[in-house]
Amino acid sequence: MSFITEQYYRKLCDMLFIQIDSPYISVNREVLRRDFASRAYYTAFLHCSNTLSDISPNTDGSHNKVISSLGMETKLYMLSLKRLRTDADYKMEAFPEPLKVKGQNTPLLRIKAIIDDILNKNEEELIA
Amino acid sequence: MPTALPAHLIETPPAYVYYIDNTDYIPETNLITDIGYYQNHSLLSVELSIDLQIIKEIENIGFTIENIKENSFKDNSNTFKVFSVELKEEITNYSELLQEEKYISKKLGLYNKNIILEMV
Repeated sequence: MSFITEQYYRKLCDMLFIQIDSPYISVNREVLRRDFASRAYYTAFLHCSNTLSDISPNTDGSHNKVISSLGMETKLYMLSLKRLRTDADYKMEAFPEPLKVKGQNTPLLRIKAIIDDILNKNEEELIA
Repeated sequence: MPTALPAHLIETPPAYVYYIDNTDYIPETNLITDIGYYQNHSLLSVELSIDLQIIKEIENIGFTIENIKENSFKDNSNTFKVFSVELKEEITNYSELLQEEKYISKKLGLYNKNIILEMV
């Protein structure tokens, strides 16, 4: 399995989420949640980058170029993931931001749904 | 310049914000009948603020809102507004919820307004 593929990150996200959701894990869950959010962004980003035919991967500014090439719906979901990735990597407060009632894993379920949605899109659907 | 409805006249949820100015035109909409006080006054325009439009649409599809937060962030030179909505209902299928989120976003034209709706 190639390291630099969206499938690697997708498998990593799935593994992380199993750990986050497990009652038996002893690792700090916030660490896992942050890692999940960070890897989730790259999972979606790599799919977009690999699918868009006019994108040269791993070039300077490729993140901005990929995101700006997307249709508005996918673009905003990618920005949503990117924002969460930035919070996960740099924000000192609790991650994700605590909800009023629901648990800390809840926002991650939405992230999972977004990844599934984006990974199922072909080039035409990504730029629509 | 339109002014917002005084706070004590804003109805309890679903609440509406009305922009009022002095003109002779009174639009005939259901919103006007909700506030009898302003039936005798002139209205320039009647508009729900975007957060209230979002709330209304979420409730229309059958959900109950536990909490709603508004944030914003910048990406490059663009500013994006985020409405994070926590629903009272326990969600068993987030892929289905994502479709509802997309439906509301498209209906309210949120994508073109750089507004991101996040429902959990």
